[in-house]
Amino acid sequence: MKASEKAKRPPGEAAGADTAITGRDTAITGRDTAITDSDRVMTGSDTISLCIRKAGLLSTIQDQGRPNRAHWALSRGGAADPMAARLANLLVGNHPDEAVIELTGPGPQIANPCDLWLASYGAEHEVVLQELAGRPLRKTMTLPSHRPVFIPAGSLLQWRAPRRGWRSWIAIAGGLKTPSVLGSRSAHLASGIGGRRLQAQDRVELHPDVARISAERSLAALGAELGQRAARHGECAWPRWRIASTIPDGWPLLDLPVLQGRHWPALVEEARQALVDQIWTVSPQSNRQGLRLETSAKGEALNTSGLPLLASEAVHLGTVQLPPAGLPVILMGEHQTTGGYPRVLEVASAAYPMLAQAAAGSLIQFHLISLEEADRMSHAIQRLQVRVEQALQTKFGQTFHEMEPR
Amino acid sequence: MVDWQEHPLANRAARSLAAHLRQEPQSFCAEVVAGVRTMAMRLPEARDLQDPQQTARWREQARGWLEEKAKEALDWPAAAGSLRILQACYEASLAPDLPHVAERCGLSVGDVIRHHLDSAFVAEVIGFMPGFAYLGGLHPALNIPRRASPRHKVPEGSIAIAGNQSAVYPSSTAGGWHLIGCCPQRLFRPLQDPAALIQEGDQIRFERIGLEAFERLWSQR
Repeated sequence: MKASEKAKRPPGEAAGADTAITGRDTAITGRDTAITDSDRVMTGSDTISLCIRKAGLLSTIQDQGRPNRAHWALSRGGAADPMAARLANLLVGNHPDEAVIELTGPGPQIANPCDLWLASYGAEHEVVLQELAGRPLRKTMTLPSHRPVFIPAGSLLQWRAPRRGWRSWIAIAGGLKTPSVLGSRSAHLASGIGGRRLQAQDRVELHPDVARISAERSLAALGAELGQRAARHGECAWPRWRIASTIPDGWPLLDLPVLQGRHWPALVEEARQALVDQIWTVSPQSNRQGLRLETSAKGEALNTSGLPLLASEAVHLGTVQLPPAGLPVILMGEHQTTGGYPRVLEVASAAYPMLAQAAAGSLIQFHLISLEEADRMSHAIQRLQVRVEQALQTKFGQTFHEMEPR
Repeated sequence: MVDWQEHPLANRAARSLAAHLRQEPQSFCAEVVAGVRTMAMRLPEARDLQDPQQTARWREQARGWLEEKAKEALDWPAAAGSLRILQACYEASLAPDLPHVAERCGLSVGDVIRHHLDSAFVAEVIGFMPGFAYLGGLHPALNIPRRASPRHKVPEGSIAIAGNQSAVYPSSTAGGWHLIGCCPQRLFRPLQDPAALIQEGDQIRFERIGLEAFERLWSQR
């Protein structure tokens, strides 16, 4: 794909809003990198691409992000829940660092040109099969999530708005062949690096051997009888098991364990109490950069008198900033690397996956924990992750031994 | 985190210590970020799951190391930066906060622009987002606090001020500074080396351009 056409636009348009997704020679940061329709058409006979028929609310390509580049002012970004993206990959036998499609809220409608072994993990979406093997279905079918599913060529899938949770990650056996920028294929929307949000008619290039890889892995997971029948007759098939959802009990209420932030002591007593006692509502103006909080019924903006006026200093995923208006902001994976608002709380790293499931209107409650508790929780969640990963790797054994971690 | 507070060499020490940690990596440090008069270090993710105390031990090591080096860093010399000229268009349509800033400072819009052009800036800190540099040295007459509530979306290229600093937003993002103009140059190009136009320690001056020149340069970005 050549995305060389320049479009003149008034200043102030969204950054990175129209950067190409496929193609190796694409300019990556370009709010003025126009893509013509013909660019979107598959080029060359040896590429196989998913077709995004409808984009959904916000769908992007993500992997484990760009860690340890904060000194370039580049936050890690990547999948809003990196552990969930790893599990989605492992469900289809991919390397855990492979790129996936991240869905936010109502998801995309996707057409597949070839047989796929695909897994959707994260929120509880209803995944509806609207066409099967090139034929419209008189009665649509619902596909399960949190496990791999064999989908024959020529199908049309729609991810509906989630019943519980807000984000999901779709992994496809063999992975996505989108360009890597600064070591990652993640779209960092806040800085316009690494691609943009997916739009209708976009094509997402797949591994050239996706059909063979899907056939092999689905046969291994489903067994010869079910696997061969699905492939031969153009049917969907999936294993009976699924891995547990990570959507917290009580969603849309998220109970976040937090540590006192650097400027907590400067908050007046009344504001400290109100910060942790009241239930906050996630504002619709939230995104991959941060969750803006609003007051809920009976809640009120915090008294910020006494907080220092700061010069900018380092902030991180999970930092809770308090601007003078008294409404907290929780920083997400595409956070700014430095910020000048007082940092009153820090979300414990074990709770980062919960942040990924916060939707507009979700309720947030903070509860203070000690550093020792935060370490214990982090250790426990990592152990759990490793156990699930090992179980999945055992299940799909041989696909992994050859792969080296990135 | 190290906070040198009001020490006169605080910024230089923050930059030097961060550079030192990048050159000589320590096992307990995954990344470092220099701020204004501060420097923060992030611990690595614990890898040895048989050892629940790994994070706590790294934290202790990091504390001891930082305490010692924070004092030493005050004596380390600074590297000299190069001079860079940034174009600035102060046209009303690109400068939504200019009237408000003028009012807050008790100046005319023309005076605000003049003081901004007269300021000799230094890129004190690279932070916030790729290509963004905190430019210290803003004329004292323009020193006002940042907005009470950040804007959800600041237009790409916006020239902004807050406190004793100025900056250019490399792309559209949320931001809490006052917008007084727009710069047509691209500040971050990930496929080029170096990707960022402004490097830590560079000396920056703004040069005024009209709307016509701005639009021409903007279309060539």
